[in-house]
Amino acid sequence: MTAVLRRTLAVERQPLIGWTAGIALLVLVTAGSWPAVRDSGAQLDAVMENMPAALTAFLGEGIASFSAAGIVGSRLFGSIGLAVFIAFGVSRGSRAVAGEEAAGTLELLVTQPISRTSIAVDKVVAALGTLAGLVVVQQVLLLVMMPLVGLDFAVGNVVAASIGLYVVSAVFGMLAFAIGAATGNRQLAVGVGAGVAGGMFLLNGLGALIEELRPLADLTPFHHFDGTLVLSRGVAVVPMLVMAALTVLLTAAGILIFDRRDLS
Amino acid sequence: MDTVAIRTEGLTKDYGQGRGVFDLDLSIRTGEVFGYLGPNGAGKSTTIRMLLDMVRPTSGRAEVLGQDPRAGDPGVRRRISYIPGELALWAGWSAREVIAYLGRLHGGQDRARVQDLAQRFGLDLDRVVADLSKGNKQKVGLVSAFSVDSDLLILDEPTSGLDPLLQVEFVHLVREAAAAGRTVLLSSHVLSEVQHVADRVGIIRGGHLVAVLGVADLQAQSSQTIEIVFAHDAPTVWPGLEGVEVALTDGPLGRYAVTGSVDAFLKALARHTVVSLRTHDADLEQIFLGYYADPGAVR
Repeated sequence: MTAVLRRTLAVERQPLIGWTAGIALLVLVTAGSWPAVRDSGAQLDAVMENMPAALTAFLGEGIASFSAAGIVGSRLFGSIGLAVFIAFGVSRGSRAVAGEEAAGTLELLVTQPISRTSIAVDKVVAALGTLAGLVVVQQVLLLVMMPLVGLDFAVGNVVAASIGLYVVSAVFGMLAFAIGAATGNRQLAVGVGAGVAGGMFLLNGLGALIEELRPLADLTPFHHFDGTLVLSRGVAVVPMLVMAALTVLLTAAGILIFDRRDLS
Repeated sequence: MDTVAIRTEGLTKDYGQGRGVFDLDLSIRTGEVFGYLGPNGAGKSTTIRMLLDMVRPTSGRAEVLGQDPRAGDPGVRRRISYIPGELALWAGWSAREVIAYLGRLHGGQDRARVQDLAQRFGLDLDRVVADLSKGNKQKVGLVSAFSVDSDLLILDEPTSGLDPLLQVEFVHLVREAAAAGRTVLLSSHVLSEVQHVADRVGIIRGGHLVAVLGVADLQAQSSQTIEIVFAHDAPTVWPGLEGVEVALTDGPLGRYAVTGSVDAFLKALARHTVVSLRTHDADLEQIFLGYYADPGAVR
């Protein structure tokens, strides 16, 4: 392991404990409360049926039919899960190069006998690696909890949902990385990464309501990764591959521009 | 081994509106201590950043230890130690961690040397960077730069924030490095900081190198201001003395600008009763102005 990668991971140790605890809590509460939620199913069914179409649109298609996959999936792989993992991805992606540059410490790194590309690659590996670690934490905890609380999602669907969650978070994380590496402006990177994610989420919700927006909404990652459906139906492979390719492209573009521009 | 450590030809970084570095032709010999002097914002840091491939030139070329900083192997930087002008360190780490990290990145560091240097500068290695004063942070940079094995030291305003005693220690360090055959590029906006260690100085102003000269020549050209309180009214003329200018007299107080050697002036002074005497360092700004006033003096 290179010195830059090792050091970047060492700095992450404490924050990661916090993120892991938060995600563990999310899984414990979501899965642990399932038996109680199931028992009040009849009342909830009524609530769901009377829910305005606008709200269903934002919560995800699967929420309308009251089911374990819909309820648990919406929290872990839908709204909350997406927000948590995209936030982590964007925060680490923007920090990778732009964070060091804003702090002024990048100057000490790039004047060492290592290439800029190798520094950037190490930073990306750290960001994507820690993101993967957190997704695995959620996935393993869910798989362990499932039999204890009477959830019976197909293991393949849980794994597919986790991979999908990772890819969606990574694409926004690497968008933030690319902006940060190309400009050195961390705030801009966070703004664009989080803004585009939030905007697309909104667009996808509106697309279900407004016919004219649907073609655009269908292009967003959230159309192809609906947390309320992934645990019952799995994840379509092609959109995930497209997003993975996009992630690689954004990363490469960020590294390339970083190698070519002036640093100050 | 190359006889030239740093060479630039027409090196230019144009930031527009007259800012940047223009047409820089510089040659620094191996084993030389070169002072790079200029006011803040003159282009010293921009030059250094081009030499270290942080900033890419608009035109012209540079060669550092025989390699183009951009196209060459980054591995050449294993032979270079650098202290940035605006030194920023990882805030949450201890000084020891920062120095060890930089040492590892550099590809090896002498631990005993770190200990020794920290002692010489009175740096507590276990303090956290965030709690360090500017001067102490600067010490971290110095310990780090001098504890790795390198052929070329590029030091951008390295003593800013250091107290005078440690500036003397710094001068010793640079002399040791020079004695070991290492090349030193030392930038500063204060002449006194480099004149005791440098063999030659280059003066940059407004992005243009206006002069390169030996330190002895520089001292011969620079004037120092001597302020004297006499037991009687201050003399307003110094007949027969060359290079002495009366800047101001006010009762017993006299202020004189002396160019070149002060020996003759001091001997003339001995005929008077002197209550107190103070000298001020040569004002670099005045030397710059001298160069602008006399185009013939440029390079």
